[in-house]
Amino acid sequence: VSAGPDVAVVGVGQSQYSRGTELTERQLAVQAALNACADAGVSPTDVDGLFIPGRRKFRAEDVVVGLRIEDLAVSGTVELGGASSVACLGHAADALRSGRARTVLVVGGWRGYTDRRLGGGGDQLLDDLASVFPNPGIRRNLEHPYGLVTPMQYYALQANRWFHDRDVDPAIMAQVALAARSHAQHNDAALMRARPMTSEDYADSKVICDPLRILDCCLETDGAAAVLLRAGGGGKEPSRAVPVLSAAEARPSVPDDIASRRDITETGTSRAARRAFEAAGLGPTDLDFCEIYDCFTFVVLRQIEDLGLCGPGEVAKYLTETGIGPGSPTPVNTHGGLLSEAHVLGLNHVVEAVRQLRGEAGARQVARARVGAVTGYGDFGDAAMAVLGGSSRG
Amino acid sequence: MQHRGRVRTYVCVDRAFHPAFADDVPFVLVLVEVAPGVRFLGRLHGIAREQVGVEVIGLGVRPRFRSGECGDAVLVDWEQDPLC
Repeated sequence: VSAGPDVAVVGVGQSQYSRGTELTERQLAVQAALNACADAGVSPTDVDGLFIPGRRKFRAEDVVVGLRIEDLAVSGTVELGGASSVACLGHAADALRSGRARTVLVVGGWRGYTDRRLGGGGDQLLDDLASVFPNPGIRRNLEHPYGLVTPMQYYALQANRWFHDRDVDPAIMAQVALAARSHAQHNDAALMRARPMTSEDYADSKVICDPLRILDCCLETDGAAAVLLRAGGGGKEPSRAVPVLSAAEARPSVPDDIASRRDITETGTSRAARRAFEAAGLGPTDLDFCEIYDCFTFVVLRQIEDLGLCGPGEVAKYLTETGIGPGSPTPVNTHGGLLSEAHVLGLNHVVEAVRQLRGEAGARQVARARVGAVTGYGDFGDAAMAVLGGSSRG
Repeated sequence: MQHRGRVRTYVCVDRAFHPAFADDVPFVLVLVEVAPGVRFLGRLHGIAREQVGVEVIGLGVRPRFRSGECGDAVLVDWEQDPLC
């Protein structure tokens, strides 16, 4: 499907992931970007393309100055909420294939702990959320006055209908939380390393927004991550380049409002997955692992079905019989994900996929990891998926 | 527009995410369809929070208006419709 030269990830980097930081978002982003360049053996001044997931407190200009980039040829901000990071890979690949840029950086980060705590409440949170989500008019006029404010409430609204329609017990969400925490025990960067979780811990955890418990919610953390891409096998060590076989995105039919979708539970995931698999010439059975966007455990259930890891309506059976933890046939979120590593806008999922495909994941390395998928999910159902790995074409 | 509808989905609000709702929790929000594609979000009255579960999906409801709590705006809430 995609014409032009092969595109590959040649470098990945991250800042420290923490709960609390003295650094600004801009400093975190520049730190992650410099680490990605160093990982690739590419001079930061050679970056000539830049894509940033979502509106952040840093702009392209800040990265240009921070990296001393001299000639930025293409840049963009991608607005698909938590799907933006993976969607950026598609835009980066297009810029490289078309020849508009030779070295493209995707960098994202935030102070999700220091600047914005979603449980906190108050006018500032309302302003903040109205600016982050699409269509602030709907949010402010039709939802906030009734007390519908935070992401977990929107997800619960969808989850209650989804569990009802499929006659699935929400208790199955525990399997996602437990698997993520198990994976995180093998990742030094994971904030939940050395904090294992038992089924009892999960069952005892507080229900925050029924059916979502505190342990169904992602972490709130500060941090940034970056991915450097090139066409035609650039980078200091070509053997470490990880091909981007495809990257696709999709939005729900009414992207700014769950309530107005004919099917309230509709998201873009199945369409994004279809596009990404078609473009890569692969299918779900070809995946050796998946990094699935996991702002809430519920969202992982949905994506496992929508990706085709199991059949429709089979996710509960899949989780209990096959599983997604360490050693399972297709491990999911081998770094611990947003639930147990850190919430770095899902760009940490891309970083992890690259490390797995390079065979550099240490104690958590998936055996014979050749092809992996990374998904993004956000803004009430925007979706993106990339397929990485395999052998280079040509 | 018909003045009756059915609950498509719901969310229980046990925790106030803004101080304005601190005295109201727990309460239940329902998404109500009054005609194909015409939907309202509002508070459900008359059924205790502890009684609310997936069975509330499909419940027949009628509007109940609430004023004086949000400036000049009249909020549209819902209660079970005995005729449904």
